[in-house]
Amino acid sequence: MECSPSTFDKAQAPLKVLCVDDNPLVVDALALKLSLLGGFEWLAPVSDASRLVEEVMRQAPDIVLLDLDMPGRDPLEALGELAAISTARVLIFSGHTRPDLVDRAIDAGAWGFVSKHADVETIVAAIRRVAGGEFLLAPDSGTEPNDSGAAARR
Amino acid sequence: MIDGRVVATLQRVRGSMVGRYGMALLIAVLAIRFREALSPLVKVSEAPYLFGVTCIALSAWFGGWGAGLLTSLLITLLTELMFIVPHAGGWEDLTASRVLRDFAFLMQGVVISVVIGMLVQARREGLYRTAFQELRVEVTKAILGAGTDERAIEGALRVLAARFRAVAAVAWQSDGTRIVAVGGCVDPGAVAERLVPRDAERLLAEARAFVEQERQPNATLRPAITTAIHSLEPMIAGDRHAPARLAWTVVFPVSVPSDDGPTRITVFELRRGHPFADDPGVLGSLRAVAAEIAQCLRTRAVEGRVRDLSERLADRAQELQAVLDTAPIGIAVSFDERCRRVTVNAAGASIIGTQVTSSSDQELGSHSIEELLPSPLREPMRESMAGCRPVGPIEFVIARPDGSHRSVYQYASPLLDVHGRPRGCVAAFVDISELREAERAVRDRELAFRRSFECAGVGKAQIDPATGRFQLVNRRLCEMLGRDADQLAGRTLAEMLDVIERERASHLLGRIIDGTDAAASAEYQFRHATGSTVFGETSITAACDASGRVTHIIAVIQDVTDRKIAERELDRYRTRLEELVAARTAALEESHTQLRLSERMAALGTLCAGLGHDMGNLLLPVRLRLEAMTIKGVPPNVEEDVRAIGKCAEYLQRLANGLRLLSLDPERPAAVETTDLTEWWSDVESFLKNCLPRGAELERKFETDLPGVSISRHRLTQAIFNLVQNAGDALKDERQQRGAEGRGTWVRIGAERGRGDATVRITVSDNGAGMAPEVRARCLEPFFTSKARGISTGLGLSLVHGIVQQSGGSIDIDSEPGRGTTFVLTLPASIRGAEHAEATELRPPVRAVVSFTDARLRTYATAVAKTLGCEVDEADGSRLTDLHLEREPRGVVWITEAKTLTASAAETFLHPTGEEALADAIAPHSRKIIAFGEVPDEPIDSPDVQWVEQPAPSVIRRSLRASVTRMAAALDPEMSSGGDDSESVRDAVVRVAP
Repeated sequence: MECSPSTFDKAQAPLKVLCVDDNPLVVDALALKLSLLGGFEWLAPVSDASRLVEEVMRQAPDIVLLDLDMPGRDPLEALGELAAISTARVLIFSGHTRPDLVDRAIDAGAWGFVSKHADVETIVAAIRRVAGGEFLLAPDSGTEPNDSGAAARR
Repeated sequence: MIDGRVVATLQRVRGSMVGRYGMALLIAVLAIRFREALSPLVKVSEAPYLFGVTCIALSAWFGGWGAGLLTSLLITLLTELMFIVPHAGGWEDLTASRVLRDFAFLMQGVVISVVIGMLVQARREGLYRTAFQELRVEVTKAILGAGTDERAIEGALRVLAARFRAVAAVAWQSDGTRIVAVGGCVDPGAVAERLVPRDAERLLAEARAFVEQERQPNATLRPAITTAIHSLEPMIAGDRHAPARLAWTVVFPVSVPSDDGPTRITVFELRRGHPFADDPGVLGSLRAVAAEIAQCLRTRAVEGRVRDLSERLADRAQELQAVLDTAPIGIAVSFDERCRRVTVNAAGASIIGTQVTSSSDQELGSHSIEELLPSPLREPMRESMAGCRPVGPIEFVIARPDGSHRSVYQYASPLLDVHGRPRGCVAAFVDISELREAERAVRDRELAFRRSFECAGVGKAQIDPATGRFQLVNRRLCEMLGRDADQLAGRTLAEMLDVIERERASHLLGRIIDGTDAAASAEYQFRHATGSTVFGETSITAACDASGRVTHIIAVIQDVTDRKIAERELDRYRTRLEELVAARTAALEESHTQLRLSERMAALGTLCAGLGHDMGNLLLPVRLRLEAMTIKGVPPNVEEDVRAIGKCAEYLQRLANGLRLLSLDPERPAAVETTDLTEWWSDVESFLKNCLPRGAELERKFETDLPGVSISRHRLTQAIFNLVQNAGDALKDERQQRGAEGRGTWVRIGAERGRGDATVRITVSDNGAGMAPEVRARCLEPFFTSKARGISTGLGLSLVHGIVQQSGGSIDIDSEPGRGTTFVLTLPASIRGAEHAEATELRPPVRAVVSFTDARLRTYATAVAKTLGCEVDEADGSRLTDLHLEREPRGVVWITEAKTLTASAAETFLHPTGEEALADAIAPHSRKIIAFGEVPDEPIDSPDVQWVEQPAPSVIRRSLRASVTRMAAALDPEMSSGGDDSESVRDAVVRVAP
């Protein structure tokens, strides 16, 4: 309720993006990409999930890009803690796209899931869509996550 | 003088009555004749008279007074007949004077005869007296002097007989009594001249033989004497040379004391008619002699003899007692007529079991026979005594006082006195209890043997060693051979066997019979009467006697047919088991190999996944940098290079994507079940090409505007990858066969719409070697491969099959050797296909209303509902009326929070009312409420309201998805077109209600 108008307000302003990833190559390259595109404010990245809550509270990002494959604290656990106290929208940004992992992430409070293997445009679009209030259900194409595979056949 | 021979003749004539009276008659006749002749010479009256008197006297002298009387009578009668009657005119001349004269003459003759006879008699008496007196003395002397010596007695008698011109004989009776007889003539002097000793000896011998023949054990003294006299008299009288009859006989029956016989009194007897028989003096003299002899004997010998006999008798009695006491058999003796007083020896008492062991009559006398001897023992003794004959042997059982019983074998015999009368009984008896026990034991053993033989659980036969034939067979053997005992009797063991076994059996039995082996055993195949084979374990044992000769042979035959059958079965099972083990071992090795291959594949999969992930991670910054470079602007001379690098990165990214698709577990649920084939192809083409041999072409031929395929990308990738790889292998084989310069090889991937657009057919074809029918038939089986192990796991096509089946599709194979292979995968088309999506837009099957106050959940639920093809409205409960749901013919799912859901709102939603309500158009159960969050205390009771406590996004998604799916299915026009299908709809809803 509170986020939606604020997000909208900030849509005019650059989106504050906090990247939580231990791979500096990815972080730097993404930062470069977003800075080139414009409309994004690249906050100081975090390489450790244990500092997630602290940094979010400190930097107040609009979007948090959270990698799941990091040393240290379990990112999903940190996410659960964060979701309880913050309105920052967390987008999972990982190479692992197992459905159960997607479910766990969303249950923990994530707003979506985007694969590192996706096109760069897809990734950027995903950031924008989540910031715009959408839910990204599929890591690759934004479609529905599915756990039995039986429903769509009819 | 007169010739001696004439005198002798006269003596002989006179010795006989005929001679004597004949002489008297002769003299009388001569006297008459002489008187006639003399009458002319002398006066008739004196001459015949004198002559007659002379003749009478002569007759009396010769023949005794009887002859004298006869002579005188004859002279008188003859004179009258010869002289008077013929000359004087017959009987009329017979005058009284002449009768008187004749009578006077006769009287004179009588007187003369008597006188002369008396004179002769007197002389003889004198001689007899002298002779007997002498005889008495001599006989006594001879007998006493002879003592007990038989030869001496005989000699003495012989001398006596010779002296007295008599016959002496000695006879012996069986009881040892001797009879001495002496006979002699009246005239001892004349007898002495006429008897010769030789005759006496002969007579003696005859007498002895006679007496021997006439032996009579119990003869009394008198008959013996009489016999002896009668035997001697005719002997002597029959002697033709005897001049006169035996005048006298003296018999001395003498029993001389001897070692063997008793003492008897000696008596002299005179024969009747003896000249001295009536002479008291002679008799008295003889009796005196006899008394003297008896006295003498008694005093001299009898007493000592008796004493001696008593001692002997005592010895004998002692010996007899010793014999009785030490006899090993029981002896009972009784001299009682009724067997009341019985003597029993120690052994007998032991057998009877009585305490009385004394043989004293005094002690036994107080006991009756019943007390001493059991009745069975007593009766034979009585019977023996009564019948005066031996009784037995008899066997019987006696009861002893201590209650035990004994078998006794008894023989009873009477004791007879000298007269043959029974005076007692003796019984001998033996305890044969042990013998009988032993016999019974033997019988029992034999019976037991018979029973064990007959009732044995194994077949038994007794075989005659002489013939080798059955003597006896038991029941079991009969059963084994299917023949009865009569059929088996006289048959041989070999005849019961199979032909091939006979020689062996005969040889073995022969060795037993001739004693080479004592026992032997073997297994034979017997022939049953029905022709079947019976296996018998046969033991043959020989029984020998002491000399080692085989007396009989026992064969024991155990039926082991069942065991043999079981053994054969077991063999078969063992063989089968070994085959199974071998097969299992091979299968195990095979599965082991497959397991190793699978593990290798799994490791390879993990490697692929890791590689794809890491590649993706690295390619992201590369791509970002390249884009940054492009945005920043690069010099024209390097623009081309940057683009090339971008393409390379793109290629690598696809390769990485393909690797990820390939490495994912096909069983694993996919995030996306619909695959756009064109997009998919861009990801997988690069590495699919790598599967093919060099020179082979990978061609794609997809129809335009294909619907999505309802299969996850990684599954499709893996299925097509395996098919392409398989085709590549087929091409390799084809190339090897045709040579490298063969025509071009290719693999084509095609895709086209299936019938009714419900399916998509994906084909993978090659122009390789093709498959033989048998390979084609089995190629989808797990672990089946026609390639060398190590190159192929045999799992590839099986995996494809599994994936296609899991995705609801099917697989077809078209292949012929030499003409290549085409796999056709028929997969369901996605409902989100282009046209289907369009149709959904026109009329979405289900409408969803989301009433979450939480923005994130609301957004999420909306997104999920949209992905499910729903038309979504976001509205809280108070604004439901704005949606005009009462006019909505489609199914509506309301997703709300439990805490905000009111009963009236639910009622309005589920059962819309009002003027505009299309109540009739709304199908039953086409409204559904899913309420998330804590369930109220009094929840709305309706099957169309679902309560879900946990409002987690994944739970919301699953619940919404399930409801929408079911509702869409229930309201599907195709399914409900057959009429009112409300029932099935309700069922469907009920089935899914929690």
